[in-house]
Formats: sequence, C-alpha cells, structure tokens
Amino acid sequence: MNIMCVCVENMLDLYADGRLAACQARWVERHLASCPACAGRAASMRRLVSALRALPVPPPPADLAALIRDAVVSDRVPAGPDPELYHEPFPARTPSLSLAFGFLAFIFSLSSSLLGPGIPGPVWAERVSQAGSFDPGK
Amino acid sequence: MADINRLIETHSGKAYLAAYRLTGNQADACDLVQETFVRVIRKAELYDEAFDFGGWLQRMLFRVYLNGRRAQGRRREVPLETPEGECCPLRAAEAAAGESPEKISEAAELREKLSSALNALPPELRACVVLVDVEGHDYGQAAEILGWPVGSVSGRLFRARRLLRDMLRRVEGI
Repeated sequence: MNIMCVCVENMLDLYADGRLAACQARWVERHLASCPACAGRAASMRRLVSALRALPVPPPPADLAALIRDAVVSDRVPAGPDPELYHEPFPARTPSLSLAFGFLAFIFSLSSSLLGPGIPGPVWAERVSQAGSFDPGK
Repeated sequence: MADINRLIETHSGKAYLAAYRLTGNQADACDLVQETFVRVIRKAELYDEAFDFGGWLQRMLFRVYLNGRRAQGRRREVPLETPEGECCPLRAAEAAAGESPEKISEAAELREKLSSALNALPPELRACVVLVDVEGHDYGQAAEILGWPVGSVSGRLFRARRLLRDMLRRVEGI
C-alpha cells in the first residue's frame, strides 16, 4: 500500500457518498482504475452498504397501533426518575446560604484570637486573691 | 383522539422500521415507538401543522433512542435466542423462491453477522449508519434529524464504516 492508496482509502467514503469535489473525484477514479487493491476496497464498501440496505426487518406486531394508543392514553411511559426516590430530608441549601454559613464559622474560629481571652470571670478573681496580688511581671 | 388515531395509523409503520434498525429487536423497537409517540403527544402544542409530522416524529425517535442509550450507559441486552418469527419468514420466502439450502444458509449467516456488527456499534455511530447507509438520507438530512453539525455526522459515519469493515473483514460476501 503506497501513499496514494492511503490517501484514496481515506477518501473512499466521501467518494461513494458523492461528497468530493469534481477534481478530487476524477483523481480517485483514475487511481481506482489503476490500483486493484483500492478498487477491491471500494467494491467491498459498496457491498457493505447494499447488504445493510437489504437487512430484513420483521413485520411489526399486529397490535402495535393499539399498544401505542394505550401508552398515549394512559401516558404510562415514565418521563424521568420518580421524585419520591430522591426525596431529601432537609430543604436544599442554596450556594449563597452555604457560603454565608461558612464565612460565619470562619469568623467564629478567629474570634478568640481577635477578641482576646475575654473578661476575667469569678474563678480568675479567686486565683488572683489567693496569690496575694496580681503582678504580671512575676 | 381521532386525529391521534390517524397519526398512529399513518406513521407507526415507518417509525417501527427505524426503531427496529436502531434497537435490533422487536420488543425494544415497540417500546421505543410507544415512548416516541407519548413524547410527541405530550409536546403536541409545539407542533406546527405547516411542517411534516413524519419528519418531526423521526427526529423525536432518534433523540429518544440516543437519550435512552446514554441513560443506560454501556449496558447491552442481547437476546439469547432470536424470537420466533423474526427471521423465519425470510428463510421461508427464500426457500419458496427455489434457492439452494447452501445459499439460504450463507445468506442467513451473512445477515446474522451484519446484524451483530451493527448492534455492536456505539449508539451515535449506529444512528448515523441507519440514517445514511440504510435509509438513504444524505448527510444534511441526517444532521438535521440528529441535531448535530454535518461534520459530526460525516466523522461518525467514517468511524462506523471503518468499525463495520473491521468486524466483517473475514465474512464472505462483504
């Protein structure tokens, strides 16, 4: 298989469907006339298409029209998944609400470092009185 | 309801032909045709009487098929045996036409291998083959029915034919 055969092989589908420009089609025809291998491939493709067209289809069931009418009347073909199967116990949260919650949680985690230890409670005062006097330098 | 009955009587046969070629068996073809008619009737208010109902039905059929296959993923159901009556009438007709038993057997084998190869194609490729090679539509019509650009139809058809030729390389008569 030479380079010409490779080019023609890739163009055979379009040639068979009549989608090549006239000059390209003439070029393919000239090559097919001189190359038995490519002519064989083209013939094989034609046989494949004609065999596909000749594939038999069995007759439809006698009650096909009645089945369609029943389906249309009762509209029994499901349009999508049953919503009950996908019922969520909690209402869906919107992305903006989730972002707001996340931001509040972040601020809360930072609050101890931002606000300090807070106002001293009674336990702190008791410890200070036991120590005698509060001297931060000791 | 009389209009719906008339549409079903007129178009169900052609829809069944396309559905059988897409699905490869009678039961799935009937289900596909039913589902397509149900969807068409649901969307009846969108239909403009100036347009061809058959073309609209065909577009809907192919889209229902492709969406259904996507939903099923890669799962394939192949019947273990050919249902009674799906191939026998043709063999009987060939026998009645005076064909020799060998020729009848060879033709049946070719049909079986061709059907298997067609069934093995991915749904998108198969839809292109059915529209262009089997039903004889041109690329533009196939692209309109499938809702794809013409280049996509052309590329998929090229791949489908290549796959079919590879699968049927050793089959006599192809």
